[in-house]
Amino acid sequence: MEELHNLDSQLSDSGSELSEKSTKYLLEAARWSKFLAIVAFIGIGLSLIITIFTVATAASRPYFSGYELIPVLLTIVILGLYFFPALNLFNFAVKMKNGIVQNKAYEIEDAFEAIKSFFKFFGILTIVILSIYVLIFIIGGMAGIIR
Amino acid sequence: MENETLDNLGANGSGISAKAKADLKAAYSWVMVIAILGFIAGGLMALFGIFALVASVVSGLITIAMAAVYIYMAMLLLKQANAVKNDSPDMETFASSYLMYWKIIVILLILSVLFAIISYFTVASQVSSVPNQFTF
Repeated sequence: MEELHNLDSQLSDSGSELSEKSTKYLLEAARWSKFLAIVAFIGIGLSLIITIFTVATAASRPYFSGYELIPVLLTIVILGLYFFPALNLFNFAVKMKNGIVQNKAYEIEDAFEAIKSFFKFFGILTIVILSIYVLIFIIGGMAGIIR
Repeated sequence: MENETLDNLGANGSGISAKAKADLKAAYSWVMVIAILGFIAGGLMALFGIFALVASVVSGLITIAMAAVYIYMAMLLLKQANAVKNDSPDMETFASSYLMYWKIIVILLILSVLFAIISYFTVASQVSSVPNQFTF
């Protein structure tokens, strides 16, 4: 515990200051982020329940084939993609509030790391989705030319 | 309780470590990418809205309004990125634009949920008022 405090004070000494205005903004941002993260968790949970229910209903039918599981798997992958940014947002909110209220630099550090992870994930996902669109556009165009 | 703690922080200041600064600096490039893509998407949407004005004024204006929100959000991201790109980050600018960015996202989320509920009930009432032609 003492080591943690020492580390904390070292971190504080080496860092720059957060003004009162900045801490107020960050605390409020943490509240809004927490709300959004909780809404996202609820949405993901509900979607997962609906997906499982749909699979269970489909599986009880006599003509059920494995191919019907493909959209289900795709839904689970998409829900997984939503889960990580929501988790980063939640982590940011919790760590930032703890860091500011309890004056712990290492918690603030973790909160900023969560911001970095969030934007990195969001950036990579955006690029991947845009690349898929471009690929579909090119394949569609080529198919049109060949026909 | 929280305000008291905030007051203490105001007097003493809360430090942000070198690692936190490095993380913010690392986030800068990704925020910049998202901001640029946001500007492109907003610009394209605005262009689409202008063309849509010819077909329907209401849908054109809605599209232009949405494009304006997109562009404003991209501007906020750009502000955040510029605030943390240096070795001495401008935390006040970063925090205020970061807060505004999340506020807009939550407000848009609430509006879209309200819109979905209203459309659901509008469609449901229209469907129930149409006589069922398939019953004999």
